[in-house]
Amino acid sequence: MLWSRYNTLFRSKKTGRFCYNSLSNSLIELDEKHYALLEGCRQGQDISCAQDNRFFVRLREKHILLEAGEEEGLLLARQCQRQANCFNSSTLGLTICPTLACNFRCPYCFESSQQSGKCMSTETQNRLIDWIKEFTAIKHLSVVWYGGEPLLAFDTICSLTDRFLALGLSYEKVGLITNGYLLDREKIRQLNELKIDSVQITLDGPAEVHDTRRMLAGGDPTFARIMENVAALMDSDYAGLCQIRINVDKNNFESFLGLRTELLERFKGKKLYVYPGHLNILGDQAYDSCCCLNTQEWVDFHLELARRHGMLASAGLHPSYRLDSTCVATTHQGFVLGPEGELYKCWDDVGRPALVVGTIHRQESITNPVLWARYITGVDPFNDPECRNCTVLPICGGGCAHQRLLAKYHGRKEIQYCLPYKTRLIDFLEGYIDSVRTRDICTALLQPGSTPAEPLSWRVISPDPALHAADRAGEVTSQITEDHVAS
Amino acid sequence: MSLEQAQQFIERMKTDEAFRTKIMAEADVEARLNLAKVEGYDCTVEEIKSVSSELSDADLNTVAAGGWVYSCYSCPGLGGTCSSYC
Repeated sequence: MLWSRYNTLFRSKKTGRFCYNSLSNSLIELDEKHYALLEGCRQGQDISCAQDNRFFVRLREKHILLEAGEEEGLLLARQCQRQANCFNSSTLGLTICPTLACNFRCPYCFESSQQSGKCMSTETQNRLIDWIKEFTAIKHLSVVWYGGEPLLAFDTICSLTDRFLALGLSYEKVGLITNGYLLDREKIRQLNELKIDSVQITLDGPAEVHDTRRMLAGGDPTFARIMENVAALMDSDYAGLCQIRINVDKNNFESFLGLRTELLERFKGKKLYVYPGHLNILGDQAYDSCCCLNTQEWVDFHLELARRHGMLASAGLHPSYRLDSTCVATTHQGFVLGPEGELYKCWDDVGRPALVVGTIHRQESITNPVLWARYITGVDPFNDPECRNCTVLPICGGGCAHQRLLAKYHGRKEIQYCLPYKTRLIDFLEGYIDSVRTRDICTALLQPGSTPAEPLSWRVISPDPALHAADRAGEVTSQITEDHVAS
Repeated sequence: MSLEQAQQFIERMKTDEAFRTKIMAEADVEARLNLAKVEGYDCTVEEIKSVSSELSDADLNTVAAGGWVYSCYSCPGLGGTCSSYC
């Protein structure tokens, strides 16, 4: 049996002993005896004689121990799945910028076309509908309204939605990214009809901070009006989710928690999600990138929120599996559409002529097949030997495709596209384990007659409630086996 | 009574085995919370539930939640890392 390259065996002062495998995204808590056993395996000792042992079976299931060649086979299967996802022809995913104009002048904005007054012409809208019809295999159309500020072209959103709905496709996962300033009651009233199931509004902290950073083109403040609109949205019959993204950097991160708490208390019981957004300057914006939290500081910020305030990101601290994940940039039928019909692969590319991959106005819409291919295949982490051998590849997935593209093809070697699991995996796992302990303690405390669970010799800890419950039940049953109960 | 005291109480339950054993020796929930109050942690059942509710909604239900609508796959389980405002 071979020790997986995706294993992390670690001893934590606070939380115990663990083995994590990123290929199965599984975490096993160990007593000293089982930890020592795995430490031996890591150093090359063979424990294949114990194949009928329940512990051994679980190690095999979780890909912690493998036969020669098995891991390459598993990777090949995952690569195949990723490619299948990238070349899925049943969905057309469009991020549509009905205009690149914006009424705000945020100093860190990566777009450079805010002063453009261009909105999507009727000709381009007509062509867009015909262009969509050319994707004869699609069953689903997914749209995010983006910009610029999309509400400056609200009429275009309305007219295009009517025509999308008439196409007879499943029209779902429709989102709106807005600065919130123009989201008045009249527009809110139409959100359900427009099938918009999620609205994202950005703040930069409380009024005194926000208004110095997210101001109108003339410099006037925006916070009060945005909050009026958020209140109107929360007070309406809108059925979707409102997400408030609070941009965070070194200048304002301390105000994040207070604003989040205020918003959640004010709109208690409403479909509102408030989360921090990482300001990350990659372009030539006129904003001091020294103000940005670097990756390590960003991770510390989140871990501190979890440790001291019990606040976790929506995806939590447990890593998510990303080996076969895709985004609009890496799927062959994912596009960001500019107001003149130009096509990009990534939201970050909007307004940059050099990063246009095509146009809907030509029969062969891909005019820069090399750039298109670089996004879909060129940045595939499976093609990178360093990634294939990285302990966290399955939960990193190669990082951001856009950042990877800049580093690999545009000479931006300074860009760190790897996810922070590469250097902080154990910190994330310890945070997750701590949250599991909190839940276990709270559950036991509120259950009459219960006592704390006896320590087990090993157990699988899973973020999936069903799996977690099943595993715990399994371990309880297995307490009768000698090698499974703590001595 | 406060959420902060509930958080401190649960933190001590996690880290102090003798304290945990003492509290859990009481059979019913009310007696446990009364004992906690004697130890300086004045909290209610609802506040204890609140301590774990964010965890239930987020970390422990990662698979069910599946992240948020706009997050591209690169977001490292934290959200908002993408400069495209995901």
